[in-house]
Amino acid sequence: MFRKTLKNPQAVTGLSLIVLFLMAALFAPALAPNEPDKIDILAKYLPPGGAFPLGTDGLGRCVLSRLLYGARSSMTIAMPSLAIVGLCGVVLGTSAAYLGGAAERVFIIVCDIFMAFPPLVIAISLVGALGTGIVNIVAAVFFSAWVWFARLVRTWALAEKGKDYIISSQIAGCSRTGIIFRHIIPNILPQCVVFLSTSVASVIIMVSGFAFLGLGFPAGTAEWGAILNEAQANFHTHPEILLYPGFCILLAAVGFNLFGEALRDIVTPEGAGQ
Amino acid sequence: MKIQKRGLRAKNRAAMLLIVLFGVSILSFALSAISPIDPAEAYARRTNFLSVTPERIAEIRVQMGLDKPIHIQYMSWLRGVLKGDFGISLTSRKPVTADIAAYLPLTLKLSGLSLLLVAALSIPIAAVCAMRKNGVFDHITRGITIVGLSMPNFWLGFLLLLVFAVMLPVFKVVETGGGLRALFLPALALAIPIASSSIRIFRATILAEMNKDYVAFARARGLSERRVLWMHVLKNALPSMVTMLCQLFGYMLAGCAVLEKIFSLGGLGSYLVDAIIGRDLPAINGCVFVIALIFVAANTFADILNPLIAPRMAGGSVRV
Repeated sequence: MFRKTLKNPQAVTGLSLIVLFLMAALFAPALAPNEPDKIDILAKYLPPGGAFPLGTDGLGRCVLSRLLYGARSSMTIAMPSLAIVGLCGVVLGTSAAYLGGAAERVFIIVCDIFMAFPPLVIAISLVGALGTGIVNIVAAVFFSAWVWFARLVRTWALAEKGKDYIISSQIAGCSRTGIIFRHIIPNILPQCVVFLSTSVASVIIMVSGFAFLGLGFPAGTAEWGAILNEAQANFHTHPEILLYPGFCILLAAVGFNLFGEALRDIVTPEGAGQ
Repeated sequence: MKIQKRGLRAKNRAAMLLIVLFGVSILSFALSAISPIDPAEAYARRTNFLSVTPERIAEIRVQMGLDKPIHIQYMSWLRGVLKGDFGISLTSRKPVTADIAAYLPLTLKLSGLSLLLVAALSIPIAAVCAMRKNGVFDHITRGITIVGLSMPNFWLGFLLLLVFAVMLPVFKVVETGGGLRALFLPALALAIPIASSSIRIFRATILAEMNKDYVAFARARGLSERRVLWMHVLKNALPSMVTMLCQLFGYMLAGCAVLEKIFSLGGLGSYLVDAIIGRDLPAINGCVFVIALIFVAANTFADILNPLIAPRMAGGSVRV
């Protein structure tokens, strides 16, 4: 599977974009030409060039440096929150499917209740309620997203449960937890990875949406959505500052979507069903 | 016997719906109640920030009923909700029900228009892509939609403003009134990312449908490929599309929040965001509950509509 991924041009394009943004996030302090939060009112709206490769914003801060640090905010939220979503979703979804009975009914009711809310509504209400901070945003993303993933995992696990090898391992005397963790989960893992990798894109967009609304991050944070929010006041005179962060969000999301989709083609080849 | 069975299913579904609605009311209440920010203090600071004394805060807390245990607060909130009373907004000082009634129509219009755009864009494009699978149009669409679904709708809103209101002044930056003109650009910004993902999903749905036996039969009868697609395949693919479009309507209600802010439209979404920022608990609870209700209603609507479009869905059994 790994070798197949490297041979797929779409996967490689996506992966390079992802690596690019991860590098930007990781090495932001080294790559950034200036301090991202250094305000210099006299140097506002400088054109690109010299010490400021993309110019400066309305407070004289270096646009490029802020964008690089913005990659940090996006990546440090999207990755951990989806890791938790993945872990909970896989455990809850497979357990519900395999155990069946009352456990499954309770699971379905809880899911139906959570699924009655559009994810964005849960997320912005929670971010608003919990206040600013990365942990709070991760929690909000988790609560808005877990149910959609757990429900999918349950469907996949149900399909897996009916297969012969599970029945054989039951006859062979495997324990319930043994079957769930050693047999069902490894077999549905590829689908899970595909789903989570495309979800990174939507989480990046959602989180920058919070920041754009002024929720979740302290004022002045170098986050793509927050930069957009600050730039909108001078949208008529300096639209270029609005363009850069949008491009960053777009490219990061395109990277994860391209990669996730190529991965899906590799995991479920055409004709093998969905 | 079949009719009995169907009656039972309907009853079960209604019971399930009641349980879900009850859970929804708990969750909408809990979403704001878990906040570490004290709403009484926030209210005191906003109303009269010069004299914020602990006594004043305690007084407000008693007035707002916040000194009682959380389940009692929930019960009294629920009693109000059943009578259509969500309490008094702490920021506008008007009943939340009146505020929602004032702001909801615009959001419904915006999401409705956006949903129309999504349906009008995605169904025909998906059908053409499926018909000419792996053709030039299909490949181009694939490329465009991947960019489309990666597009943050708030940024797209600005781009549309920049192009159609600043560079080519077709629209005004701030369109007044709630007419179609004012809603078109935000609806488009809301629709494009969602349409991009629906095109992909509908294409897959149509392709899956085209592999079924009745399609081979229709072709064998000598019907033209176009007729098979538009008359037979699309009709059978419609129920899953309707389910999805109804679900999207709920997503859009939430997505409206950001676009209403950009286009300075006063709708439920921006009302909710302002309530969240202002710690206006009654307004948050009310909005979240109403949005969830509409979402549930849209999904139920799809459940009722689908058997009417494709009768075979009902009961899941073969009709004799």
